[in-house]
Amino acid sequence: MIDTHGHAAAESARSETSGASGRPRRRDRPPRSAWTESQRTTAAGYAFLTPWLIGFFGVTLLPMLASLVLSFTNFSGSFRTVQWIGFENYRLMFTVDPAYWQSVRVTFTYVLVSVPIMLIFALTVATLLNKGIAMLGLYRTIFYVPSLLGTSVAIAVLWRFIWGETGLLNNVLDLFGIVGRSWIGHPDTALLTIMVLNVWTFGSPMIIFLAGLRQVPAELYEAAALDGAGRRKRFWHITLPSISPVILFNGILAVIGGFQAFTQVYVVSGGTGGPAGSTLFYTLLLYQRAFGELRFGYASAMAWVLLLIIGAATAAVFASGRYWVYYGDER
Amino acid sequence: MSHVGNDAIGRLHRLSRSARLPVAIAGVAALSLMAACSGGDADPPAAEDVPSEGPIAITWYGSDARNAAVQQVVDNWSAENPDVQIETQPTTFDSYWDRVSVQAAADNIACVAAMQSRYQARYEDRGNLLPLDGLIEDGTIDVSGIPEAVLESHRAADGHIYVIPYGIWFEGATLNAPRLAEFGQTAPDPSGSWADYVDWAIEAQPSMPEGTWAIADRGDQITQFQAYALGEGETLFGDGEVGFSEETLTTWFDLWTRAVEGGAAPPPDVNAEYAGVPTTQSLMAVGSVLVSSTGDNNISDVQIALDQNGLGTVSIVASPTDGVPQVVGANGWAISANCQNVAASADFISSFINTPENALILETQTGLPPVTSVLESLQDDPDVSQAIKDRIALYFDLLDQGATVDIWPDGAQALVTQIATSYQEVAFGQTSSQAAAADFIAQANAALSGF
Repeated sequence: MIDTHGHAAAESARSETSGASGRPRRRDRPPRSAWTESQRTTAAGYAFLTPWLIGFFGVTLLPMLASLVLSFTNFSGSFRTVQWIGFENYRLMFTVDPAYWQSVRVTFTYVLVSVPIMLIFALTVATLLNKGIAMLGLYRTIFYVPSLLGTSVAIAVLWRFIWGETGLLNNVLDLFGIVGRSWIGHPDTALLTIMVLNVWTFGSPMIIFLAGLRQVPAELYEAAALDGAGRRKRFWHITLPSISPVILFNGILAVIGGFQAFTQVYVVSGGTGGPAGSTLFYTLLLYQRAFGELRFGYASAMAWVLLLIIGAATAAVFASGRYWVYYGDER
Repeated sequence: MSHVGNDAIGRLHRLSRSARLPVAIAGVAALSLMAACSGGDADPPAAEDVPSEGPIAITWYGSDARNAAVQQVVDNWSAENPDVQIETQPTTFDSYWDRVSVQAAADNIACVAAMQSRYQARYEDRGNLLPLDGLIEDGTIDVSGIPEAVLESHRAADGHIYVIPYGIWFEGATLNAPRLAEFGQTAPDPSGSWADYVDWAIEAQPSMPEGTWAIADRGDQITQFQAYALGEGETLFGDGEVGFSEETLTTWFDLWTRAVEGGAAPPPDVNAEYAGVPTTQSLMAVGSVLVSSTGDNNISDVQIALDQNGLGTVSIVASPTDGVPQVVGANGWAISANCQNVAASADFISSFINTPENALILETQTGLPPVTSVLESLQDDPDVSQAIKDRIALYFDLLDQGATVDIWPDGAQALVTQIATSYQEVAFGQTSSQAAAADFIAQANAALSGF
């Protein structure tokens, strides 16, 4: 391409400088570069983008599209036996697999309950830390540690230590004469312990909330205080509207993370989704179908439905933002 | 073009113009792979036909102690074969199958891969393993010392053998007899059924201290239900469906509900809490239950935990099948279809199972050696523990009774979790035994039919 353009440009230059007499008609100009400045800038941009483009197309987009194709097959780990089965995986998912709807119920319960609680908790702690207390950095670090530990295998041990039949909680309850139970071993409370684990890992949204709180102009609080507004009113009418974009951002991240939650329940339930299917998250069932039963086609179909669910939930949260997110003068 | 292909193109035309290109690219790529990899079955290769260049990877599963023992055997073979570069990939049992699944999907399974009788069919059926018949017939892999019934039970539906057993295990009842004696109890009659065991436990429970139960709740264990079904004259698997009746499963659930309600087995929440823990942390290992069941090769792990706290001694007796030969399983070695050094892999497998020194290193942690002469040499060795010799004697009894290795069909692995869920629903009062049994059978049949 460069050679072709370069050749054409040189030809063009010759025709412009030579008339019938062979004398130059115009002032001699140096041969023009094959690419314009704008083209060179664009090419450089794409060159810098190349690693990302390779990653996006090679590691993200193509595998996603491949999984879309596989969702219409019975792919089970070997291409020797694969067949195109159309929408059969989707039909089985919605009409035959009883565990599927159980997993949907569990996941929606988890998202609808634990995400708001986690956000409220993170905002509460961030608000307290925003008071200018001493050793703020230390507290911030301590509160962030659970976010780092939350998905580690050590949590399985810790959670049994706290929530087990002979665990810490029951020992405390015993002091008050209350007979406990195995909280992680009972279907009425096992999901609750996973939710607590999610709330416990509030560090990431807390840090973001804290950054948002630091951006709220102090003069707004001063003016409100002069007008007689109490703490609660200042929080409700100044703080919350001011950080509502941050709440939206954290909310969307938490909703997406909630639907994708896997490691916590995998380590706590030992990958079973028990007891009695009470912690059978969507992603855990997907994992069981794919890697426990080698039904990769079916699992791909589940993954695409999950993508649609997450997309719809994210869109819904975004849409609701029109009614409660304050973007300053842009509203 | 095939009907399937026409359908696909028709659907592609109905997509928007912008969506067609990426979908078409992915579709063509996937379908090309399907076509390229859908070659027909080849005859099992003999020694002169197999590739013999390059490194080999060896992968297996087990506890840390077990993996260390296997590693030592591998190291010894490596010292004798310095020209072969070896990479080992040991891991825990649960994570092992996840990893092999991913490797199978990528046609990248280690050259020598451990298999188990409950899992191997899925990889055999999918063409991930090399048929070993040719290497067996020409003696490259020496299986002459393995009882014919044991070897033949590994023959797959297509008539080939893909897996060579390296460790035999059998399900049995485990007893903590010294602790039972402490509480004035004698062990239950090992010739009985699970129903007899539960009756014994309910009678024995009043003499147990608080927090100790006479028997573990086995209602959620598919292998123990298998023993129960055998005692009832039924089987776990039929032809593409379950081989037992709804009534049998209902009575199984009722049996264990009775044990729990009678206080002889742990309450359901405690049982569920301990369901997924390693053997060394099980209720039997921590001394909270005194009769349970497991594979015979697991009792050394249980004993290690009991020894740490001085909580007794575990022994294994025949599974409560009411006199019917109990279930025998096997760990085995397979060679992956994608292996580039089949010759060295076959030599490793043959050496692993036939070298008596290996059995001494492994101490039956991976199961009892499959070769009869190796077993006999263990029996004759004064340094081998009596517990191992008892297990060998029990295994020989089982062989005399006609026991074969129980190879589970593909799809059966899902039943392990499903029966636990169904039983827990009964135990927690969410459904009746009969409804749970019917639900489980429906799900199991769906899984076994390849749903």
